[in-house]
Amino acid sequence: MAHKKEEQDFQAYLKLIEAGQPAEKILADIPEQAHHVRAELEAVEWLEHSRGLLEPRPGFVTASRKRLKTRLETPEGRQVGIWRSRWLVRYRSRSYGLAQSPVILAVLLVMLVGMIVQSGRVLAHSAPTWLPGDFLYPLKETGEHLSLLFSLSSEQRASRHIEFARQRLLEAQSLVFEGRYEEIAGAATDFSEHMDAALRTINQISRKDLVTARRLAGLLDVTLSQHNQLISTLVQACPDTARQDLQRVLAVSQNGLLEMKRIIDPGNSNASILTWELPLLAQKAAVLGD
Amino acid sequence: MSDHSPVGEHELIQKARSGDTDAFGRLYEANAPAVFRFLYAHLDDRLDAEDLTEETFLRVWQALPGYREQGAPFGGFLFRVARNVLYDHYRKTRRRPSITLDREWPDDQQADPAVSVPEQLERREMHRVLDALREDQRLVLSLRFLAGLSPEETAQAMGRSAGAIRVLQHRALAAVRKLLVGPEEAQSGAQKGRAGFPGVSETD
Repeated sequence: MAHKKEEQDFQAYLKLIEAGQPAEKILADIPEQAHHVRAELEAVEWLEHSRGLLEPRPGFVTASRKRLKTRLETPEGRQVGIWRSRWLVRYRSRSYGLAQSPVILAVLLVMLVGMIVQSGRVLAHSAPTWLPGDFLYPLKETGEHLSLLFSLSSEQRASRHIEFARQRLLEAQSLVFEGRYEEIAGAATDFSEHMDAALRTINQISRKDLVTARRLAGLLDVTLSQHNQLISTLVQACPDTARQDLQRVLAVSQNGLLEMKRIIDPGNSNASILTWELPLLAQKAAVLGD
Repeated sequence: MSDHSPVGEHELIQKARSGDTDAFGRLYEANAPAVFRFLYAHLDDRLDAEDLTEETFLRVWQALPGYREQGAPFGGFLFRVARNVLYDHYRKTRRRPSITLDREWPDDQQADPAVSVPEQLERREMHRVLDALREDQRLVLSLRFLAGLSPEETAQAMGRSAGAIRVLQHRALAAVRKLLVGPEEAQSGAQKGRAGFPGVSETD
């Protein structure tokens, strides 16, 4: 409270100085406080005097008003929309220097994109324990989508689809172990989509770069082979509702293996399945499984 | 700060927002001297201060659609724009508001016949003291005392609370006093005769 009173008194002294009263007279009237406020009141008095040194030249305001009116009537004087005007007042030149250079802005943008891509990759690859139906699972999906979005080449995109297909297989297995059969359908669908995309991309690559296509096909072959045996076993342990979904996974996987054989070993006439027939084959396999 | 009553200023602002250039011209006449003083306190050159004063009001005109009074004073809005214009000028001229005690003064300031030599010397001394302050201290003093803003308007122009502005103001005033009389006398609290206080004459 005492501090507030002192502040109010000080503001009153300032008003007296602004009105033209000398600081010495004010100080003489407040002998108890003079020692505390003398320095500041003398500084204020000096500033008030300095104010007179900064007045504009006679006639400046009138002449510049006319110039300004002329400028306001040109395209330069167009009033902008609300959001741009708030940016003009609030954000422009908030701190002069670094953020305004186009080069530095471009660098910051590249860094931001890099952070987003890296975050996506971290989310996609560092959350293997998140399963469909988990609270944070959408983050994992978002990370995968970002990772695919920022793929720099067809090869990279195909590799990522293969990895995400592998993730879906792992998730399907975990779901069976945990008895969460209702979530397997989603994992199976995602697996089919990633497989389809991987095969389509590898086929496109095979038209221009057979060596890379074969390498990717080999990667997919290894991935599917590692999991197919386990999934075949799990099919037997599932209730009927989940068995259909797992059989769909198996069918897609096996057809993918055949397609990869065709790419790896083109002379083999047994491998003639076209990639866009895979979803239809998966459906047939599901029906046959019943 | 301006000569207009709050009610009159409010009407002028409303008209200006609707595109009335005459109403804006009256706002300009009322506020331009304060804006000029603020800018000139930070700049070497009177002509630069004049140019930037016009630039400030041009930007205010452009940004008026986004201005919402809602209890916020026009002065705070106006001087926030003026501060931004000043910083843009620093960036273009690659100048930093740092201590430049050995500043070289442009010839036009000495050649102006309308300005007496004592006045020029006083202005140099004023700039010497202001330049030696920290940037936020210089800003608060130029807004509060040279432009004549209230603590609330100053707070809005600087984007800080009124309480923070009062604290900053106290420290800035103490720093000015120390620069004017020297650190030893400032510390001892010796009373200085008015004749020895730079820039303040006996007849003031």
